[in-house]
Amino acid sequence: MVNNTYDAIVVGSGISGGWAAKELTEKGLKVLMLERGENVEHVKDYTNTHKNLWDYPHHGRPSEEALASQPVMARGKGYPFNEVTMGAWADHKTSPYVEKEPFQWFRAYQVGGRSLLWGRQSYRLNPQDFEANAKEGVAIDWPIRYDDIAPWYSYVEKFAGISGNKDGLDVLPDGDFLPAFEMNAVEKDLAARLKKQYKGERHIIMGRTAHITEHRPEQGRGKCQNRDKCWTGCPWGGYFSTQSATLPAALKTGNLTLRPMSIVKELLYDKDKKRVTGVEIIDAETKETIVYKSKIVFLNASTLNSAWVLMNSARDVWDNGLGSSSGELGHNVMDHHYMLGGTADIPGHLDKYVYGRRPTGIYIPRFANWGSDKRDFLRGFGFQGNAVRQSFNRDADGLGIGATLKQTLSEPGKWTMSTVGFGEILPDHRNKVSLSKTVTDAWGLPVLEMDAKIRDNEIKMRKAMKEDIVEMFDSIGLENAQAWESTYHMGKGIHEMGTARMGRDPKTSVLNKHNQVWDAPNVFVTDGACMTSSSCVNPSLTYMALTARAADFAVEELKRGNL
Amino acid sequence: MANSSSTMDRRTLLKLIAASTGAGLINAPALAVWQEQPDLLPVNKAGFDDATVALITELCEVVMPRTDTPGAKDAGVPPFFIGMVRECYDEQQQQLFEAGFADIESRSKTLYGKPFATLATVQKSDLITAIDVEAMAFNKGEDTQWDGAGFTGQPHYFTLMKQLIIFGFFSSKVGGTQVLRHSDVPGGYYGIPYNEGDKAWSTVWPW
Repeated sequence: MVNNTYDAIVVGSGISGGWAAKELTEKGLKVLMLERGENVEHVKDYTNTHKNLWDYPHHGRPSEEALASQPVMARGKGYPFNEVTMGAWADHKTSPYVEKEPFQWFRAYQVGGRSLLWGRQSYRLNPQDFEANAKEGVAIDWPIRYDDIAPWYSYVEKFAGISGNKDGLDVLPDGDFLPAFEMNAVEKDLAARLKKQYKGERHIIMGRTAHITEHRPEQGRGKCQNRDKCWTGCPWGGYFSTQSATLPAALKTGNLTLRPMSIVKELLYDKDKKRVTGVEIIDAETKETIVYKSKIVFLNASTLNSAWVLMNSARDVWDNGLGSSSGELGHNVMDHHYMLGGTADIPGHLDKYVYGRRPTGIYIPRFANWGSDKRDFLRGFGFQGNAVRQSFNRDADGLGIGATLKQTLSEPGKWTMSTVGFGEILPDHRNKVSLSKTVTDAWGLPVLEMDAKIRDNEIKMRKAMKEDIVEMFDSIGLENAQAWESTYHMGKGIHEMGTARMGRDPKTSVLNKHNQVWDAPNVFVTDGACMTSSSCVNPSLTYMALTARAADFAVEELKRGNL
Repeated sequence: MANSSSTMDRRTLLKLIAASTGAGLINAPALAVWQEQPDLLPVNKAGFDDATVALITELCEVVMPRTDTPGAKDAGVPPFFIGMVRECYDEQQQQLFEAGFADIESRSKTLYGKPFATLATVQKSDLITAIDVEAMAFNKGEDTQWDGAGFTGQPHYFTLMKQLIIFGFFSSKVGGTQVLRHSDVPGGYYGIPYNEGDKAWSTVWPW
């Protein structure tokens, strides 16, 4: 007879699920980690990682047939959907969703989730990020402040391995970093010019990135090799993923059981005890239904799917599911709006080039509505980018054909600067996801219906982002500075957040300050669903810190007999 | 892919092992997540007649010729180009390519009385250079010999052809390693001096 009882169940194996499994097993709990997709073994299953473009039949480009098979993903040609990574994204046919408003949902249904496919930019929220809602009367106040999370940022930074510089900026708190990647000479020059031009109020800094820049034999990880093939899985373990970091640590305790191909159908709720007693899963292959019991559940299925699991649970008590008593479950969907930025030519520096493929770039931290900077919108934005010499893949107009064209393109072109902006989206009750009444997935479960869009504040901000980037480029002597923009729909930032927000009051929030569901305190939601506001910085590091913090609290509460 | 019955058996077995040892992984057999993609369509199944295949082959070489380094034919660009036209372009773009091949052939016959593939190297080069210049003018909205009729919203056909030849050439193994510089595992990232004539590095993403 299989033992179906554990101390804790972790739903999901991505960035936050991996952290939950690591923390809980290291604290001695017997943990079952459930993952709806296939297993992916570190190194062994990174089947594309030693390939070069010429090893792919279409040299990495997606075929029309591949695009047609993934109509939603196809809207984002390039990253993330191409011949290199396409198999790593969830299949829209078996797992559809309904778009009341256009929504791009990038799902990675396999062990490791999107930790294998993320952009790895790792920033702390700043103290203002936790206070802005209250000060501005937007949505609800965060139930925690920066000081509550700061030690946990340090804790996760040290283990995950975040490379970066201590830049001393109040808008972007420093952390416990490994040595940063190198800014190239041209980026350094532009950084100095920008700092001077804006009197120390705008900065180009080296991106803070979840890559280890020193070997870590104790974790079985080798330092980043600057191959820039991260989205194929890294056989060195150079970047943080479940497979490279948290999963081995959890397995080492002997306390972890990992069960792939396990779709959580619902959390089982005992309405008398107001506790969840376990989960019911569907085996994705056999379609068999199995019940697992546990004292606590960590819900780390990703922002929308964690809300989806809650919506499917305790429906005999609440029509809209567990956590819906506040009326906020599934609401307040946020993302970072992007798909816009700026490009420019950088004169000179033609005696300089670089060696290696740095898997990250520079960052221009938020400056709007910061200090003396005041705008006609709330909050701010940052830009990621880099200065590079053009590759062969440049505009070949005017370069002719034949030997001259070939010679020209076989050499690097001029230096160019390109940036992409990421802007904060305000929490708005009207932005929501809910269960479809008509569409089900391949396992007969109701799918999500998306009804979320950017609104006035974001639209104003986008205009400013385009103006500002051109102004900054012009002011530091770049040439042909231009803003670019293409269609952004919610989800495309792949930073979805907010569907089960934390708060101080069960009437207006789904989770309390320890990420516990108000209506079931032995359920912790610590992925992006918990976010009360979105900041403008990449959010994964915050999920890691909140997960470690909640896991610590959960174990203490178990010891105290409170759960 | 493993057949489903053996997959199931192994899964059941692993579950039993996990149950009997009381530890470890309940381990589903890994299917390939980063899937092998289907092979490129071979030339003989692309539906181009011999004359068109010959035209494409010479077109690729005239745009990226062998010099002191290998050229398009050495790098396998023509079959790549043909497969890509069929598999990575939508129907209207494919028709634009086809109309372009016909246009090149027709101009060759008008100017030189011969199919493009049989022209002398300098004739091929002159004709394609003229079309390259024309493409830029067309894309700027000027009136050109190619009038784009039936292809509203599309660039000049040669723009698509030139881009595909350039991409196919420099993303090929020959182009990436013999015409560009390639470092499989750089190990680090740092600044280096650039002297005129030094080659560019190969790239690892298709954009």
